Amino acid sequence: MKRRPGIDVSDLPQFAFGSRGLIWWGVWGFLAIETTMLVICLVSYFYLQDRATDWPPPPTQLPDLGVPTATLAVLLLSVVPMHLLERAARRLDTRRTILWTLVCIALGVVFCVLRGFEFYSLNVMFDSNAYGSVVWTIIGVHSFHLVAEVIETCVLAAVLLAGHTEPKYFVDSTDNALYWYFIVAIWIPCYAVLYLAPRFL
Amino acid sequence: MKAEENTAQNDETTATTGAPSAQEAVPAVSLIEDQERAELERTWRDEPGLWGWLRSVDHKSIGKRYIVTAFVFFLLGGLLAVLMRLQLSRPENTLLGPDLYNQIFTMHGTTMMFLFAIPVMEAMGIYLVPLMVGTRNIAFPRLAAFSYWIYLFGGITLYVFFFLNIGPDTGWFSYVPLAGPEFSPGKRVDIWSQLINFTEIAALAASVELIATVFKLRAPGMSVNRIPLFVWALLVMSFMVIFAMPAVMTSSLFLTLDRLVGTHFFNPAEGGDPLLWQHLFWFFGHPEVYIIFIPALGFVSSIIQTFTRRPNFGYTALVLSMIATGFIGFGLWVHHMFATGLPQLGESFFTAATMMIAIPSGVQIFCWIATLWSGRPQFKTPLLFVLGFFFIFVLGGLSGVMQASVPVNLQVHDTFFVVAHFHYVLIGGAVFPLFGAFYYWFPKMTGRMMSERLGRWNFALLFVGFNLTFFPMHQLGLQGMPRRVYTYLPGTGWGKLNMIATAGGVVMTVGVALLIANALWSRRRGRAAGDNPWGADTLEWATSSPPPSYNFEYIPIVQGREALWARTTDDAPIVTGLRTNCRDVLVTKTLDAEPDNTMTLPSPSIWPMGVAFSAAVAFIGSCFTPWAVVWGAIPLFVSLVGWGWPKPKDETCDLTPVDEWSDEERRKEARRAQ
Amino acid sequence: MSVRMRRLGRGALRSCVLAFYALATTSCTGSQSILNPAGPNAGNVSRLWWLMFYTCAAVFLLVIGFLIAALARTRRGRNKTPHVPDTDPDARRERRMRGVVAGAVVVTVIILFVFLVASFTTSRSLYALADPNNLRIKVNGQQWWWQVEYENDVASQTFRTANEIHIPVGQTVTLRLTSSDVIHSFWVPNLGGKRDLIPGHETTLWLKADKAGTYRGQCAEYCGLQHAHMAFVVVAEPVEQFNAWMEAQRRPAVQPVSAEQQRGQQVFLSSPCVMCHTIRGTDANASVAPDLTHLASRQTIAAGMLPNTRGHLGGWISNSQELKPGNRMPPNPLAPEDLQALLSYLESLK
Repeated sequence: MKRRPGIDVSDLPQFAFGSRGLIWWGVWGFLAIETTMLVICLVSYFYLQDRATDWPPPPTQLPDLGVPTATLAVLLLSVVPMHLLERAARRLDTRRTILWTLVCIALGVVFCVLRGFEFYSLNVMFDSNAYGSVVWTIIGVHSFHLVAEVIETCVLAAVLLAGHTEPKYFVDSTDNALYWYFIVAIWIPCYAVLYLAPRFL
Repeated sequence: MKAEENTAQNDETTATTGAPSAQEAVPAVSLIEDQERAELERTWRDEPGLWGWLRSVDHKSIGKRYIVTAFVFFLLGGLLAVLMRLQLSRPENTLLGPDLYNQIFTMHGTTMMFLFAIPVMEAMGIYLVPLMVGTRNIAFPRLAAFSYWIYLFGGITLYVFFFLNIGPDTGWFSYVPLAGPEFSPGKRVDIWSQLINFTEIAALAASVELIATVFKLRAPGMSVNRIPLFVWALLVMSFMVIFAMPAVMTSSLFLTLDRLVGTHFFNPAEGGDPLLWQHLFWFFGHPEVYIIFIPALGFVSSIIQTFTRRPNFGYTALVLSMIATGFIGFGLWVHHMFATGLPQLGESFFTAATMMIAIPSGVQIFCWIATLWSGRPQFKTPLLFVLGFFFIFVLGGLSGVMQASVPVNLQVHDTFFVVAHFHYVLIGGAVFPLFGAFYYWFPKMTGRMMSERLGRWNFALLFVGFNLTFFPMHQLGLQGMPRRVYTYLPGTGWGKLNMIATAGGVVMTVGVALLIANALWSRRRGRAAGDNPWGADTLEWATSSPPPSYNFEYIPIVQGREALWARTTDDAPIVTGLRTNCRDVLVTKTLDAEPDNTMTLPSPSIWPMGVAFSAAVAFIGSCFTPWAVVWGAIPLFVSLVGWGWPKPKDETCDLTPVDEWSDEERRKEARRAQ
Repeated sequence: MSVRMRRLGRGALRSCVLAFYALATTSCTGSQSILNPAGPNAGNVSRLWWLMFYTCAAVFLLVIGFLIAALARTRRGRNKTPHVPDTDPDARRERRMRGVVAGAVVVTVIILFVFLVASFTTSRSLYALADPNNLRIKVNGQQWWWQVEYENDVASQTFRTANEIHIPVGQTVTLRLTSSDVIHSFWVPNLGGKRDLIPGHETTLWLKADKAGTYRGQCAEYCGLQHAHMAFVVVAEPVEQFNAWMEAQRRPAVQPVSAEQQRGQQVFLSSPCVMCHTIRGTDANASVAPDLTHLASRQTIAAGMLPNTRGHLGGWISNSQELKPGNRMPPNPLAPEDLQALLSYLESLK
């Protein structure tokens, strides 16, 4: 088979942000997986609630609202520097990207610590009853992602600080931002289910 | 000359240089220089030796070892099946005791579902999809390597524990409370639920890669309506994996927690419910059947198209029916639970949904028969397997429709009738097409043809042996023989049919042995295949057999749905300008596959294996103490950073750090990259 | 090549027809068979089954017939250029085929709809047996035997037995199904479909026998080591006979008469037997194992595994682990005279 040049691609960009890039699709793949997993945890919560006569089952008390709401607030707040980070990265602005990455990490540490106290607000242990089990699992699965995401952001910061400012790491930063948004967004329904649903449903 | 249409569509971002017009017919020349080819080979090949083998990120190496490993597990699972058949050949047989038998049937199901069926389908995808869409490697090659290693470690773990007499014994479905802490003390079920973690991670990783590959790495011109049916099938399968596997991941997490730290998800005394497990498991378990079956639809479509010498009749109908199957597959899980006594309304809904899935299956079968009707069938071994598929799968599908009906289901559920049914569907629907696919793509993978004569014998023995084994089981079920019994009383009258089934099992075993013999013999002695021995139409046949490490010397430009059949002239248009000294691939737009940007794929690395290994250690350790998760996280973290950490600056391939760019350059490049 | 193929196809078709024929004609016997119904439930299901069977058989033959016809068409000298792909199939023929395929899909939908309606109708007939006045029997599944309790509003009229359920012919009984360990499934093929016994849930099943007879049932949900040997029998008998049986079952155990039987009772009461079993009218009243008050009236022992004979009973008491490995009854190394005395006593418990 003979060949004839059809398209020359030597002038195409060598990196691209968002859906034009490859990594973005991979991130979405994993987001879909993890969303499904958390949704299944929430469905299990309602399934178990449906089987119970009282919810939370006595003598378990309702979860406290203070610390969880504070955590949620910090999580929501962290979207702002993350968005600024994404904007800086999309402009290939090294200085600002690193700056906002560090701010995000600082906020990340704050909400990880708050999350630690949040477990006390549940007022139930995981081995007390099925309610405790599912509540701990939902918050546990989310915390796992939370901690992993903060660590991932630290690694990205380390890469940039080590002088690796090739464009692909800016693309990685924006894809990491996508993941961060997901972690925050998915917690909103989880928060509603864990803290509001037993009060109002 | 359709290439001009493609090139003419490119806007300023996809610079076109020297696109020839029809008037100035460019003399077709052999463009590739030996030097350039050598450079491509240097760039893409695995390093020689064991070290290079362990670090490989070539989708073809990974795909091949995935296929071979899955096949080894198929043989192990098959041997276990033979043992079960021998035990059941006559009443009150004492070949296997209840404990061993229960471990064996659990291992058989677990192996075939988790270690053979899903992995082998994904393996075929990992090998074939990048070739079929015309790119140089899979989207996330290190993730592919990781997927293989974690799968391998999981399988080895399961079998090591089985040989230590710590094999799981609560069935591949592990119903609680039987699998819970109270009724299954010891480590057997823990090993099972950790195996689920291994294989689901492997499968999920592979699915993400396949989706990204299909969406972003298709050769220019392969717009959505030109994607080969096999690639469509793998795409649908990957999406199903993404939405089905998390259910079993979650339920096995619940089970592990119940067993390990004393949670109460399934403990009715503390507000848990054993039926929660069944809902979650079957929300995964039923789609899983289609996860196994849909790639087989891809095999069947490819084989029928090639051996009838015409495009499949009803491309759009076939694609839509696969997607429909994918959707409906999620709405059927409760038909595994009719006997638990659900509300009548729920039963009716799931009966209707279950029957509905027969419609897309019908569309597929009818379209293929129409293709055979109007084509010119060539009865090579792959097509024989597909014809066997028709016979067996239609029968299995019909017995499936019967079971959609709640009253019939309540009678035949958990009997040998069901055993017969799902072996008809899974072996007929997936393994026969898979073996056909094996004969079909063997020449591409090895460069040699398999023996047709042995192939015919292989097919005949398997076909006869299969029906002899499983057809009598319908009857056994109707006579009241439940599943998962290690023996039965002479008075039941089940002996004769069981003996026939066992005899059939022996015939099947010979058939499988012939396949192995044929593969081993042909690999050395088979006739040389050439690039395209079957005259097929998809892109993998446009390169040499076996394909070079870089897959294609030039990325082809696709001009029609049947890419190679659409080449009317002798000179095929190709993509130029992709660097040969870097692992560059062309990223195209998702819908119309126009060239969009280029990307350098990662190089070989040992870290994927390292991550898989540390994850394996953590998983196995967590069978014994929850703290293994904490301690295991440390090596896992280290190897993950090793995986992703930039290599020392690579001037040839990476762009320079942006710190060295002028503001002007930054602005320009950033704009181009949005 | 294609001739051989066709021959193979026809051979396969013929053997398939034969197999279907064999399936259709046999299997209508047996005391554990779906297709030998002895009650309205199983009867309705088997009618539905045969409707589906014949329809599906016809569909199967039609599909395979079309397939073989499609393959047979190659004979007609159309192999002028066998390897050149036909990338531009004849448009008129494609249109015609589109019509045929669409028609086949429509037929599929119609058949499925018929099945759906037939299935719903049968389903409703199963629920129609529900009636609060039915005789109520509670069945509790345990690894690996069945505890059967005949309920009555008067507590003293309630009694327990194991692995054998007597029902009156022509009357519907309501079974309340529970489990005290893992999931089991209650299934008497001749009388109707199965129903799971799930810890934490109570499920219901209605049984009605139109014909007197003994029907075998078996656990249909994998429940561990001895799932294979968790069977029972349902004895359907005329109402008078059933009432007499029930009266007899309500009475406490007969007192030992002979000296050997008295010794046997002593052996029973002084050995570990009393830790698990009940014999009403004696001090033995533990309930983790089958109630033995009227043991001798039952047809089988060991959950339908062994006929109830002196020999089997002796072997079972001495070392049941050899017969049914893993079952919950420990071995009882009794002196031969003690064992014989115990057997005599147990055999007297009519």
